[in-house]
Amino acid sequence: MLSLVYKNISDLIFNVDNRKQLSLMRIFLCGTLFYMACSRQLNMDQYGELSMIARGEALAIYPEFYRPAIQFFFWPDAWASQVHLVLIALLFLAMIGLSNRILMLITWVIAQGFINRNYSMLFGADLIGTLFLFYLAWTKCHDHYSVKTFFKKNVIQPAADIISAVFYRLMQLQLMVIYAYTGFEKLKGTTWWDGTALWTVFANPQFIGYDFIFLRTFPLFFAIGTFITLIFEIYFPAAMFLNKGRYAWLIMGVFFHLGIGILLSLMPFSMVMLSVYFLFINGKYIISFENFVIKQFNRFRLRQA
Amino acid sequence: MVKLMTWMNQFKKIVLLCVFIYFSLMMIVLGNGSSFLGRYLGPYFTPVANIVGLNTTWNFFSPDPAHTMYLRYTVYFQDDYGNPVQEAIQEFYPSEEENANLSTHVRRQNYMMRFFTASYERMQKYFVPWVCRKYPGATHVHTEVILTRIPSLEVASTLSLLNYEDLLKQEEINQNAFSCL
Repeated sequence: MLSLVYKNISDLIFNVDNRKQLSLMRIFLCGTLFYMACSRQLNMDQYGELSMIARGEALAIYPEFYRPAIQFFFWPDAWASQVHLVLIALLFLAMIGLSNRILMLITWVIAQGFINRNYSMLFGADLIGTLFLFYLAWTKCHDHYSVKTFFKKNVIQPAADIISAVFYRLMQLQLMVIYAYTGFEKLKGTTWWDGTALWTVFANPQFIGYDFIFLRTFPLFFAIGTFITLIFEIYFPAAMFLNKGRYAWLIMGVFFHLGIGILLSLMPFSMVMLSVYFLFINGKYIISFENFVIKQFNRFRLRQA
Repeated sequence: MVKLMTWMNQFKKIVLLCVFIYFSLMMIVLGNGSSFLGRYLGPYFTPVANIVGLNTTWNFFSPDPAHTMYLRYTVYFQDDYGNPVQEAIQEFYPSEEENANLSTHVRRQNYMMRFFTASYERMQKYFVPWVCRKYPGATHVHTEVILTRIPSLEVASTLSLLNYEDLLKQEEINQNAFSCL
């Protein structure tokens, strides 16, 4: 009985070859983090010697419960800008697939170091993106869709490994946990419960880049939108366990995040979340899509010739 | 040799299984770290969670979306007798020109502003010394948070014929004066 349970768990966690999904996630996640790091270069004044938070106070501003035991910002403040440029370069290399586990872990340490150095810049996309970078760093996410494989067609790919498989499952679980908790947290708010939260977001010029005030004449839009948001987030984990429901939810998620990205100008956050969606797609669909793209590309090339 | 390899493989699997179970429990328990379960099991998870960045609650736009908020500060330059030696400077953080800028780097500044305005001590310890350093010769800094309350959906939709700007309620809260000296 016990060995049967162990076998089932072992099959679920270890026997998955998911390198294509991981590679697609790598491109999107590292690409987004690369973009975000480029934009953070403009915030370097708050990570250097003239920062509001002195180096010695960097960990002290954390609430005690959340304070990390390790200080990841190993560089002196005067070098913050240069180290950040190194981070940008490392993220770019990771995006195009010219990285490996050790380099990815170094990339994560630097990224986490910048979060530790100025905890007051609590930008959700930085936090989630860096967390997923940590998980992704342990996987073999460079085996496909990389510059290396593009130029060396006959590279013999090593077999999938169990470390990748474990972290692949952890990332899936992490996304489900994030959605569930963000839905539960919303239920604590009166505006989410009474269906008007979306209005507060749409009417706040610090959140939204377009004028949607005219929509106040269609209040049902906000009420329905609020409840759809709650249902989507709370039931996301359950939907991921259903073969049919999963894809409907993922498609809904794509529209949901693209909506947030475009309307709230939160595209980096949306892209970080969407990058994890690849881990829920069956490999056969990815291969079919890949074949379709190659076929179209070849057809286009022939036509050009 | 084959036996040793098989044994090593099994050992690796068991270690990874433990890692999987530990991380799974950590993300579930610390997702609501202030709950009884979070407080009870927290000591087993927080040291690792705080290092890897799992020490966060997933409360985006919750419990309720925030209202519009600006931080305005005025810098005074006075002599020993309290007479102004230079005209006071009034600024916003992030700067006024960037109030409607939704770029990622300005958003980060907005998050900083919200972090500091949430507590008097943070303003006194971090924000004000930074302003004083920015303006050499400054003697006092006066800060205030400008909160624009967004009208409820009922009010906004019922009074849809009224100008929306007239429905907004602006409050100046958390007014504080700090010394640079």
